Amino acid sequence: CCPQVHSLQELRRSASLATKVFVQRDYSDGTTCQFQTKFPPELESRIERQLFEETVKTLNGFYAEAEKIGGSSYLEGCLACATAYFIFLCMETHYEKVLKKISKYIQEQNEKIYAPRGLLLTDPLERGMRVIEISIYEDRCSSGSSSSGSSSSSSGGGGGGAGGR
Amino acid sequence: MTPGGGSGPMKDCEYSQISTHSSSSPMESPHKKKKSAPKRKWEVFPGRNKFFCNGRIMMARQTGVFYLTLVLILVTSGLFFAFDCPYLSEKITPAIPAIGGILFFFVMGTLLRTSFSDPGVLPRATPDEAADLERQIDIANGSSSGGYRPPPRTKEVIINGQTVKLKYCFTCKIFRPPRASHCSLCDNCVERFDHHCPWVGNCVGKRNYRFFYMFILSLSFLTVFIFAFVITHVILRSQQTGFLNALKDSPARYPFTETNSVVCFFSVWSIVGLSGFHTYLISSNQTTNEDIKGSWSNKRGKENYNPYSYGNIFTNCCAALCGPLSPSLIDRRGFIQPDTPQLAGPSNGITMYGATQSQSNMCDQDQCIQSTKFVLQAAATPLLQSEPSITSEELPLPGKTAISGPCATLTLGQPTPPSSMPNLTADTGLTDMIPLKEEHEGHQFLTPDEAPSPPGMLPSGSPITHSHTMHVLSLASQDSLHEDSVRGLVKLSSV
Repeated sequence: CCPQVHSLQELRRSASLATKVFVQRDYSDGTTCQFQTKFPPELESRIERQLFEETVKTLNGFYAEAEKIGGSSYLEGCLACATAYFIFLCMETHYEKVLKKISKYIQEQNEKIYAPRGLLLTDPLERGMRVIEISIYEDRCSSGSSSSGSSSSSSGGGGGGAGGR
Repeated sequence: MTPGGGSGPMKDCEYSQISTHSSSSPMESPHKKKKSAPKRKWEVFPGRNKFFCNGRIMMARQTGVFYLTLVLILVTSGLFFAFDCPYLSEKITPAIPAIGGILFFFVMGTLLRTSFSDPGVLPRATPDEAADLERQIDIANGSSSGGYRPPPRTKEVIINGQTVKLKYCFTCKIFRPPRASHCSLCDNCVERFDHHCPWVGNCVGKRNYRFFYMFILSLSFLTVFIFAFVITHVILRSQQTGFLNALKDSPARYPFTETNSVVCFFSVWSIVGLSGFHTYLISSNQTTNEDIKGSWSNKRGKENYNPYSYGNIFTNCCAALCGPLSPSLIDRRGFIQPDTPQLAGPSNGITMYGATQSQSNMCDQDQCIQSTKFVLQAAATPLLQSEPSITSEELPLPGKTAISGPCATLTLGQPTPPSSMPNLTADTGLTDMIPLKEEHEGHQFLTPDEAPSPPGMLPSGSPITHSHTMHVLSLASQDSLHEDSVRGLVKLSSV
């Protein structure tokens, strides 16, 4: 079998999780949501540095757009205030709209770039906007390398299938 | 079930000895029950919060004072509208009740918004995340844990030229973002934590600060308004009939007018004062927390300044009040993902971290219970690892909607162990703990799906001796506050 080429569905079926890498937040600009663009060493062999950095930079750009303080956000804020914030019951905020865009972008990146390399991005929103979680999968049909898991990587990793049913 | 193979690398004999067969039957029924009733995330939320309307409303545990606030506002306003407005609208202008009505509407709207919304709670770390952090801390500190207490875990970042220390939260297993703080009453880390307000029955943080400010501002206007017009009413009447006569004139009204005035008088000073204080905080872009601690005051040093301030009052105010509203991170109404098909595969064993070991040595009862859960979690984690990660793939695929409205149901392939707990716990086989639990707590086997959040925030931990675990269990049973975690242990053992 071809070790490194997967679609998302294939990953689910045939691969087992080896480890997870966490890209932390970059607080140097304050409390705005930005992620570090430092390339994690665990991904060295799995993906090109430039692709990864571009993903993170694009995500950072999205978040900056969501949190931008400017004319339109003021309008939204004032309108909401004028209606005693009841308008939030019917309207989607600008932030939420951008989050949808982000979610689509991540899905697209996963399908096009990360899954074929045996990687998977998790939307930071599901991790409390703290980290970008990148799951690294080992190919099952490749050697029994997966037992290495514990080495330097994080949490106990995978093997699942405890079949406790 | 292949527990043996999965726990191969584990040195902990206590777990492999325990028979899992006896637990298989209790496991079956809760497991089936779980499948038919998917739970929402708010039901297993780890913090001390109350939820209403199926997760749409979120408040702190103690809400008594909030009801008092409601009653005070409703009664005062009600009396005003009922007894003073008819006279005033006749004598002066009908605009008075109209404006009063608008103010009242605004006050109630902002109060309810403040009380019912998520203040900006940070969800606790997933076990993987927590384990990764622990590992990084260990690398940073050196792996030896000297004595009972590990060195304080802090990270320093430089924000706009100012050095800010990020603290590690032991409960939530995260490094708190700048300006976040852990509320001990709600047991949550809250972003841009201002304070916990018993009057609104909730924490005031990033997401509801503007509602809170609008509430106290409009309430000040309302109390001043009511106070002024109640006095006007009495004056006008006394002009007609003499002061004492005015008070005697409507014996039914007299006590109410008095009460109204008194309540308003005291409220005015406190509420107006509070509004003034928060106006100052907003214009300097500080939180109550920071102001009280004097984090950015000049007294600490000439070089100390507030790195979050935008420089001018106007921008600070606009940013705080009209800035974008970030979404809730805790996804109260999402469903806990039911178990997905297991993937067979070798377990990679558990990674042990020295830091967790040191954590388990901490005398704090909370920590003891936590660390017990670590162990249970640790036993469980490697066997399930692939499953959660696979479910995470489902996130982008089935038309996942982000927060698209108050009632949106999110189906997230949430890779938190709670959803996958039932599958593996057979392996941890804590059956010998069950009798102990039943003695103390009398718990029935609960559906594994209710597996509490505590597992969700635990990293894979180092093995703890069996006796320690038993000791911890008895501690746990004594502590009513940790009832949840205890229940969690039972659940783990029940599967």
